[in-house]
Amino acid sequence: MNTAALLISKTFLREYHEDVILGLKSFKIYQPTIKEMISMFNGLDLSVNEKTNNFDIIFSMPEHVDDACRSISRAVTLKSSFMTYLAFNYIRRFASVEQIHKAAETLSSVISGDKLFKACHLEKSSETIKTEFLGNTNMMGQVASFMENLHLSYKEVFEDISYPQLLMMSADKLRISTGEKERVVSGRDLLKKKKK
Amino acid sequence: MKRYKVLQLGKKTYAITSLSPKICKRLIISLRGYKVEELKDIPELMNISINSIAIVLAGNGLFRLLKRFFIKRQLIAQLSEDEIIEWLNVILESIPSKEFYKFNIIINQFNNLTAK
Repeated sequence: MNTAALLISKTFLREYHEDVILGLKSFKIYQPTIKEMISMFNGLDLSVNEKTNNFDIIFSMPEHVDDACRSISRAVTLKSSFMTYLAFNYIRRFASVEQIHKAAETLSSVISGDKLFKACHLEKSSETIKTEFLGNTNMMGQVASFMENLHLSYKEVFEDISYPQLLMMSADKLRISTGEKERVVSGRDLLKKKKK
Repeated sequence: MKRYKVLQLGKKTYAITSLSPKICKRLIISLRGYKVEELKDIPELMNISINSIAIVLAGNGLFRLLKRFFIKRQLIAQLSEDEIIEWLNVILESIPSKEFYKFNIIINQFNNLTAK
């Protein structure tokens, strides 16, 4: 089985996960649904930008570090609230901030479906689109477009199907190509044509 | 490979690797007692520095309060004021501010995904 097929089958079965090490234990990060994603970052307000200096970050650490641990603990234990509580206390005490940062990076790659999109070679449409699209500025708009484009119910989009799977479904949906298809022609093909 | 700094106190050596969130929180809260205007008052500042060094060295175990008490006593007995400031410098350098900053940027990206 090739890697793309393996990744897609694992995504369908919701078995795809990435391992992260926090403290001395290894945790699994599964692909979250939109509901789980929102609960992960619920109330997490970290106002950091390029202008924030080192001193400000250190000064604001005690207030924000618990929230950071809480969001990572929700990511590694998606459903059970008791396990989230245990994981939160474990991460707070034994994981280092470096490990938490690495876990957040892994989580972002799982949510955006980096590996899945790399492994699957999606066809790009060559048509030049002049119309501008508005909307999709927040998650509600995204839910609405998923519901409309994929003809799914609200519950299916919000609770049942994982976010990377929704992205993949809408990216690889069967659609009509109106423009001309770009063809990559090799030197050999050109030579063959000339001989004929 | 993990980077770590070694501090030797009496017969024991302490390796400081990367701090856990709980220790970071305790350390920064204890350092908030520092006031630049009161720098002349050395004994009080020494107490704060010794306390913050002891917090890091004692770790997160069950007997951390007991450990902290003994480490504080050792620090007062064995180190001079200059050495304490040097140790405090080493501990301040180990605060993972860069990692926390990068983590914050990732979280901000997620927040932008939810609502711009």
